[in-house]
Amino acid sequence: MPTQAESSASLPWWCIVLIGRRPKRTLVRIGVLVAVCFVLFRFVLAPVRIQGPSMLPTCRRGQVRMVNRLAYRFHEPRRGDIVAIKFSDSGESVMLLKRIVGLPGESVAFQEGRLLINGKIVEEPYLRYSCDWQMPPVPVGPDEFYVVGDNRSMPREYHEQGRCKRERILGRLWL
Amino acid sequence: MKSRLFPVVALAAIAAAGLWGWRACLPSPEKAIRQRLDELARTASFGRNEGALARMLNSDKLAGFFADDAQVKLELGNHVERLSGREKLRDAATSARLALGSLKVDLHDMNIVVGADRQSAEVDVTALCNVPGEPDPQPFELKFLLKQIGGDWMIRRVETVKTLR
Repeated sequence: MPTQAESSASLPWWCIVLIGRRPKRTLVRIGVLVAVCFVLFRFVLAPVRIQGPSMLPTCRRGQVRMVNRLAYRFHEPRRGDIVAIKFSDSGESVMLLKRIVGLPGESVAFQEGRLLINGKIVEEPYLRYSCDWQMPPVPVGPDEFYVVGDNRSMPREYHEQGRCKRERILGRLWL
Repeated sequence: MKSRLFPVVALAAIAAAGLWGWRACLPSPEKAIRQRLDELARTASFGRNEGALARMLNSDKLAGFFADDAQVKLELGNHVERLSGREKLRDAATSARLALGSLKVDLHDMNIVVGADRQSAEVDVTALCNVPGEPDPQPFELKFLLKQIGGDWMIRRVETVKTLR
């Protein structure tokens, strides 16, 4: 009966490079890796590829980022969080990446480019570009959040923003 | 043993082929609608090299997916485009094909709800449109209302849905 050392020595070099000295262990490792990746990317993280300029300079076109699906399992989304919003109810192929500025029950307005929540100015330290947006107060519903991108240098008409339902928020941008 | 096994295998193969044929020839409403909308997306897409005759034929084919009294309401930014009737749709499709140069439409996340009568259906879908000159595809959330007319699923209404209100 050949020992383990003898059996690994009998393997050709390309076999050792491809599947290691202990093929059974390599198979188990591959199985575990596949299972971990499946669970991780199916239930914990969602990879997203950034398209469009609305979240500049925080997120740039072409970047691949991760969304934490479990971020809001134990608490509700907070102001300032960057969230992934499902574009339609039926799937996750296309998502919007926006920052939460208004919480349920609040009113959101823009005056000379400054964000007003319930009539009071709220500082936004993450902004790099100034703007002159004007928007009358918009009430946010009990199960809604007001989201907007970081690139306020775009004209407001071309910048997708507004109220979204809580159920459409998939998770928070993590990496 | 071999002679006993052969009829069983042959019967199983015939049954599998029959099932496949049944499903291919008589697809479920969901599958038929999915195929129909995928075909619509392929027909709506066109390349730069589309000639005048092909443009006319493809516009005609595109209009053929819609019912005679079809209604279309598309919100593109602040502009709202309303079209009604197959003829208007054909004209609009020809004009759009002429103006855009090329277009690629992909449909994702199709959610099909067939009515209790099995003759009507509502479909929610995300459309990604690639237009020349734009670095990123433009997404639209669309709601389709379809009705089975003469054995085909015809579109009676299409409208864009605002993801953020």
